[in-house]
Amino acid sequence: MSLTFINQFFLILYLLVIALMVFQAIFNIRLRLFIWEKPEHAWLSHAPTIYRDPCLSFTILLPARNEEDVFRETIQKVYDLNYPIELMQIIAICRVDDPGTIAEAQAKISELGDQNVQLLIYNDYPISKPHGLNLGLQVARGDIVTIFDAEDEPHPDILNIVNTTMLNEDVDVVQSGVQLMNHNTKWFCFLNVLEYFFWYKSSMHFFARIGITPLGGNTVFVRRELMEQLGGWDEYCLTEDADLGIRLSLAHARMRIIYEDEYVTREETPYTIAQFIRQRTRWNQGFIQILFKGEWLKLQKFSQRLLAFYVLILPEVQALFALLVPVAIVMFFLVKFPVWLAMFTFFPLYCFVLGVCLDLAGLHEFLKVHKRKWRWREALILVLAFFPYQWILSMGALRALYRAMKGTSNWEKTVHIGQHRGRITA
Amino acid sequence: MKQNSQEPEPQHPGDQQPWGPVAGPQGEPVWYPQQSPVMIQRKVVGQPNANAPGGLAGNIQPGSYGQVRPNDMGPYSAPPGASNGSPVQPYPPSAPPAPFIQSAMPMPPQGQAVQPVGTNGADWRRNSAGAAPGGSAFIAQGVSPQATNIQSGPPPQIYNGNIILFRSPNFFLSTVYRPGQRQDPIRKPTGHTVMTPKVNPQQVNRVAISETLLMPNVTLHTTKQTRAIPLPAWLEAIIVFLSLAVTFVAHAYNLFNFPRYELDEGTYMSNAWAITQGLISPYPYGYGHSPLGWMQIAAWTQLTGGIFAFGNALNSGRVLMVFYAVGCALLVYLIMRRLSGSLGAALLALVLFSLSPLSITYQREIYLDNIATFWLLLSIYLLVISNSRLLYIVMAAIAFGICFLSKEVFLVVLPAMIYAAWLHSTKFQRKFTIVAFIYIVLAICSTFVLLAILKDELFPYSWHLPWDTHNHLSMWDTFLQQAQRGQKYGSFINSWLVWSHDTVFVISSVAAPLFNLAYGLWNRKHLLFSLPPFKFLNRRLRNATPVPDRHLMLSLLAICFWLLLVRGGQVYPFYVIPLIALIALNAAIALNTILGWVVKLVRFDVVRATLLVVAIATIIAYDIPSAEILFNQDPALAQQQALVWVRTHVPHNAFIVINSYMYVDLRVPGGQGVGNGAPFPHAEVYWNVATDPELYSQTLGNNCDRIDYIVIDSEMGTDIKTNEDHMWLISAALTLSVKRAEFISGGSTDSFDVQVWQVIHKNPVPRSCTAPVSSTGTMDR
Repeated sequence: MSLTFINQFFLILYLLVIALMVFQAIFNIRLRLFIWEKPEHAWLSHAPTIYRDPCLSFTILLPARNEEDVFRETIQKVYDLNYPIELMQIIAICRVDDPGTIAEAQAKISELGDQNVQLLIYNDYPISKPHGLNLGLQVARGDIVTIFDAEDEPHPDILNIVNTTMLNEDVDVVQSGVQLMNHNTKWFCFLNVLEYFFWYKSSMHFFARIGITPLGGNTVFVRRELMEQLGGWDEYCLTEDADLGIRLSLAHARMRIIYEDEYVTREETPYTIAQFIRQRTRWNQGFIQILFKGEWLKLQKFSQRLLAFYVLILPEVQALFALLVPVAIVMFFLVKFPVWLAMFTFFPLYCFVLGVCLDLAGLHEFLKVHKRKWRWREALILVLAFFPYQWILSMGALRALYRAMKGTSNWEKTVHIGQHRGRITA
Repeated sequence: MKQNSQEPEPQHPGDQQPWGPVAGPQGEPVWYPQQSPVMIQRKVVGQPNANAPGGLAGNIQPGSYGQVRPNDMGPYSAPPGASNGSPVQPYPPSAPPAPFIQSAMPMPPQGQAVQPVGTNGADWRRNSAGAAPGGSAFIAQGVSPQATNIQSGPPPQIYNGNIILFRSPNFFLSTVYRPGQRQDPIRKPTGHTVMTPKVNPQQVNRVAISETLLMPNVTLHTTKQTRAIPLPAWLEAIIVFLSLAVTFVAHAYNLFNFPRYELDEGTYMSNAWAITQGLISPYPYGYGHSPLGWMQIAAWTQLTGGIFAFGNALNSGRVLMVFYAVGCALLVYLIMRRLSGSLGAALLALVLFSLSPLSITYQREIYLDNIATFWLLLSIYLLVISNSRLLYIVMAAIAFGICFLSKEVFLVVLPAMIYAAWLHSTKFQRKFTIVAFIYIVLAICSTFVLLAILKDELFPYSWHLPWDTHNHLSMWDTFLQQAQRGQKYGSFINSWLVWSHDTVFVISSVAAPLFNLAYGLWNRKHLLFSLPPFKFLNRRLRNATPVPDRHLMLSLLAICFWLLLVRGGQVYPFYVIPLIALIALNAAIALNTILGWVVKLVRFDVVRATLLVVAIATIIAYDIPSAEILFNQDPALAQQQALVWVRTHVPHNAFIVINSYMYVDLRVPGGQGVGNGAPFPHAEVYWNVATDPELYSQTLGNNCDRIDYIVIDSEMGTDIKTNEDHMWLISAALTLSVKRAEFISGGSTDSFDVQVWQVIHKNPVPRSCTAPVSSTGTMDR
């Protein structure tokens, strides 16, 4: 009977999707726990404690757009980094149609009175961060190029650490940790913070092992000659950092990832859900762009290509799974599976609950290293926020798909209000 | 006017070039751009180098000042797109060679103050020079740079305190203008470098005032000790192989005839057979035990080619138990080897475990305890060799979960297992490995409850939940029933008397855990001192460094089991099976430690090994006589003979009340009770006849006359007498029946016989028998 054939087909499809969910959940857990897998992994993200004499020079690019609130502090913080100023070149990058930010930058530059702090103003298209960065690259003179975003708070010793690392270990790229710090301002902040925590502390080392590392958008230190050889950033890509990471992996660049809780660059989460969804839409759309660009297909090993593919489509896959949860619940009540099959369909639920438990453990670890207080109320909010968080992630993914299909690729900027700096409490 | 000079003169600070319009050679107005007074002059001969336009302030040449080419759009071509990777174009090669020319023009002395370009000059000039930093509109394209000599570089534009370092059609770079500062901010190697110190000179101060950075704590308290006495690996392998062979023989000798078949064995074999038929158990499943135990037996029967591959059904199960026992023995050896590092101690543990008379009796029988003990030892072994690797700890958690699903009682060891997992992970990993371990164990345990939920049999029918439509057994009821069981069917005292047959075991089962507990707590006193009553003790004692120690872990494992046995509930003799393994481990490590102290006096480690070998020999010598007694008994022979008798003498549609071990062989074609004939579809286990309403009220109609045959053995007889309220139907039937056959097993210490009784149906009119109160549920232990 064709009816039973269709039934069987859907049944097999359903089971296949369940198996895929299980596999993805277990792999995700493995990624998150990678740094805790063996005792030797503890040293993977270790930063040097004795610094070498400052020798390499840095060009620090500070792209900014509509950052009147925070830009002065940012420039000041970067200027105050613990490193000889004659080895630093700080370039603030603004576009001409952004007079507020330009005024702030100009005021701070005049106040500092140092010719190592420079302002780059551009006027052409595309209006995007990577375009500004590429222009900055043209006038960069330091040995190492790096980027800090307007809301970043780098650790004062970060340049010393990178200098020491580059001299000691002869690597081409150093990615230092980025951490969102406002863990409890909104309900989704807990999971957002933990996402960054697990990503930089653990998952990136796994990627580095395999050989394909999607980089973070800031606190990335790349040798300038290498950047120039690679041709700079992709100006039309919304996630130029991931694209750069793939091209660096293709170029077999030696990468080092440092995550010491003390030395992370501090950032803030988006301060409303709408902002969050926009940020994720941009990231997901960027990933889709990179996916279709096809550079990742040129990676050498199959495991690298598979991992790159996994990372690039992960948001959409997670969206699909999050949407399947109500479907699964409906099917549980309507369709009668044999007992063992029904037990198998509960497997993803077990994996998700394990994810929640590990998130709680991660929250405890995060609070411990940053010397904050553990509150049971916050733990409860984290548990309750787990599934809603997956849903807003899926909204971002779906929105990205929609925009990709429509062809809109303007840069939706995230507003920064300096939450983590304690000035504005959201 | 000097032109094309090859050697530029060094510029002096304070020299100013005129920047007003001056007549050029052709008379056109010449616009001299502002120069910055402090410049690093480069000895540029010929063309300026290609790096120059990359340019920051260091490349800004002083204004030069020769030919004016107002229509010259300047050396800056639009920078290529970012994807092109080439740097900014250098000056066009057609630039005339003279780098810059000192003008002989009169240089009106200028004050130090520089005026912004915007205040002088033509409007078009001002506009093109760039907006005031207030951000007014600035012409995007076609900004013509200062019309100067191309090759000399653009003179720097200064406006409003800022200097433009670099300009291109689509962007420009500016910074503050401070006359006193060097224009070359980034130090470039000049060839005159001194040897800079390798290490930042102020480290000491910096490290002194900065907060202490804690390194991740990855010390693992491993107890893998190097062998004091070197022994080649192949020799050790041979010894282990021989010991396992001895174990195998000890367990397999006379396997099918000793000990007698028990009720539980038959229950599990019939459940295993039911699994192969797609059911969980042949009778309604009551959630007494999770089905994973007999699922493993079912898998074994499939692997070996059928449930009757070894004779009758129970034989097949017993062969599997021998393999589990050998596996357990190997794991005991490996665990002790790893924990103590001593071959002698490991062998001692193995010998204690395998050759004890209790082991030889109970490890042959098809009990879930044997299966669960194997998985428990596997879990402990995986923890012990894990070296704090997450994969091994996860596998240990899975093994422990399977152990629970084989027999739920083993959950009582969970606290000790959590402590073991805690001990075997480094502080750096501890939080996450413990969370993963506990979660995986609980998740696997919960699948048992999930099974009940999915079958809608979690809560009793008597609660009348909305989705309950029919009467059914429930997990809740069974759990309550098991928790409330008293000592009626199996008391601790009786079991203790049975265990006392092995005096070595009972003595060490009390002494060894206590010794290990004391010694372990002494080694890990910091643990104890963290508890409130002891917190006020000597701080020096409290801060003692932890010694790598496993005595406490082993003793806690054994103590957890002891707590289960002495809890005051039902205790059967075979409950001791896991305890045999744990006591073997405890005793071996305790003896090893004690002998280690003795050896410290003698200072000769071979003494310890020799003493261990002596201990092993003693144990073997002690066990062999008891083993001999056991090997020579054949109690199961009677049961098998009864089975064969039933096959040949009982009509196939008769209702037979049997003990469980005959169930499969009578019901399934090919069984020992069936042979090539027809099976007996109405052979039912006596407990189910007594307690299952479907059987006694529907099939039998509460009428004892409907029973045709009763196969009764001494154990069954005892049960029938002690359970009058359930077994009234069968006892009534017995009063109406006559003995047809009797089989007595020879050489047993207690008499064991099997009798076959046939109920005499005097007349066709069924006689009624009194019906007392009934209860539901199957009986299993």
